[in-house]
Amino acid sequence: MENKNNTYELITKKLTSSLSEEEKVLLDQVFTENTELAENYEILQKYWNHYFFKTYPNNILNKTEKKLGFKFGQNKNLSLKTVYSVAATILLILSLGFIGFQLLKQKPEVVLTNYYANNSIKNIVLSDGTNVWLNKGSILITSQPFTENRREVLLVGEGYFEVEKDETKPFYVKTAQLSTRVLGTHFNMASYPGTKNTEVTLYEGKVELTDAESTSNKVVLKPGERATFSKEDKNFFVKDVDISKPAAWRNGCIYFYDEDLFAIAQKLEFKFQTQIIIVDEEVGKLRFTADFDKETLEEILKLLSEAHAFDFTKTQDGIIINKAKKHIVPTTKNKRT
Amino acid sequence: MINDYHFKSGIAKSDQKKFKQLIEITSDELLLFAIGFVRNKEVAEEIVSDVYVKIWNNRSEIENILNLKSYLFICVRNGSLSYLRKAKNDPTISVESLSDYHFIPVEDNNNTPIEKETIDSIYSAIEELPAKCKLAFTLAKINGLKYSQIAEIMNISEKTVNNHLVNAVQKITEILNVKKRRTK
Repeated sequence: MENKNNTYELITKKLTSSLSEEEKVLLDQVFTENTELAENYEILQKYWNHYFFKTYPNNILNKTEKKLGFKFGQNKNLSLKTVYSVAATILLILSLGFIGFQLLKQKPEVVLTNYYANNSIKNIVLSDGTNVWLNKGSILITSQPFTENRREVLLVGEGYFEVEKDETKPFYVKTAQLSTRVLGTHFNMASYPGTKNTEVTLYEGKVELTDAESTSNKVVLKPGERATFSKEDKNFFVKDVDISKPAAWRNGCIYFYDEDLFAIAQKLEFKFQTQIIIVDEEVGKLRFTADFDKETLEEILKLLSEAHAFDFTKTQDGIIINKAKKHIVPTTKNKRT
Repeated sequence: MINDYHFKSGIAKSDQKKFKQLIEITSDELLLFAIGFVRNKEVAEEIVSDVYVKIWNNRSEIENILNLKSYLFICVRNGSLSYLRKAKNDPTISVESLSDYHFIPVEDNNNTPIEKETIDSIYSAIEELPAKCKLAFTLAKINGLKYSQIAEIMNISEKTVNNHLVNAVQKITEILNVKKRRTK
């Protein structure tokens, strides 16, 4: 009897996905000895994994709104555009310190220039020959032409830089969190307001990243490395990445290299101007390597969820991602790598 | 995610859009959970919307809630039981003394149907389970909650949750055996 109870406990744990590796071996053994039980388990498992509650339309949202006396969503979130203009203004104020100072002592033709890639990707050539691609919704602020001894730009959002070599005048890219000092290099930098991390990927040359708040906190990158700087704990995390497709977003492509779904969702939010909520923390930690070009948001999510199972639902306000209800055996880790 | 710091802090800062999303994510499950107690959709909708109203009115406290999902279930449980105490005029009704819980049959989600007859016998086995056992089974099967969350919601130990679930699984398996013998 003791034994029998134990078997059902193992079956229960298996259904609720709380079975340990050793217990799994035990249960498999029970199943080989008792084929009838194994058959019953098959049915039970089908029932557990494929039968779900049906949702009926309900009036809960309406009733809640009625009881509270207002309708939700009238104090709309700050739109992305507003967030950017606020961020840009703050950066502008911060930057007026140094650029403004330079402007004052410069020739009158030096102007503070504000590049804003509104709905499309923008390619800018700066006065020193440096090429910058600005991703959608991103802002670059600088004084043009560059002054005699300093090349400095401010970035909100994402940009890919091909910096013209000039050993005597280092090129600085500043964001709210980081100051990046470069000589002649190719690198991508993503620092979107509202996200947890600033990301710098180096394709050529050398860059030095410095925490804007503590100049002793710095890291030097080699080509093929990506630094992720956490805005919360101010730590740099450096790892090797595939650099065969520099800043694929410039061609409208989306490219993820071993990134978790939280980070991917943030990129998709910016790309598709929507909101994505990940309900289950475990799902948010799933990692993907994938690239996409012309796929729609739904197509991308569908392809990703085939690699690692998760469910997603489209709502009026965006996408809700939850853990998968049905079990799909992950076939391959990489989707069209 | 409903336990995510940013999500909770959004609601704490009166972000209505985030709160609306919380309702969208959780209301279906909470409605079914309440119907299990009160067996009336209208009444269940009232109970669940009262819970959201209470959370919105106390939104500045939301960040202190460790597990928002369990918390929502506990609020709905309390609302349902308090409705039953009034409706049945029985002040002793509590989760500990639960004598009745309704399991709402689930539907198959794609093309992996089990024979209708088999499914019916599974449901009859579930129907026969004691109320608390049925409740634990519902929370594990329908809501996919962890043992620790079920323990919190039912106000019992994880060991007891385990006992309830093992009991349910055993009863269902046994009915499948009986059915097989009959068809032989």
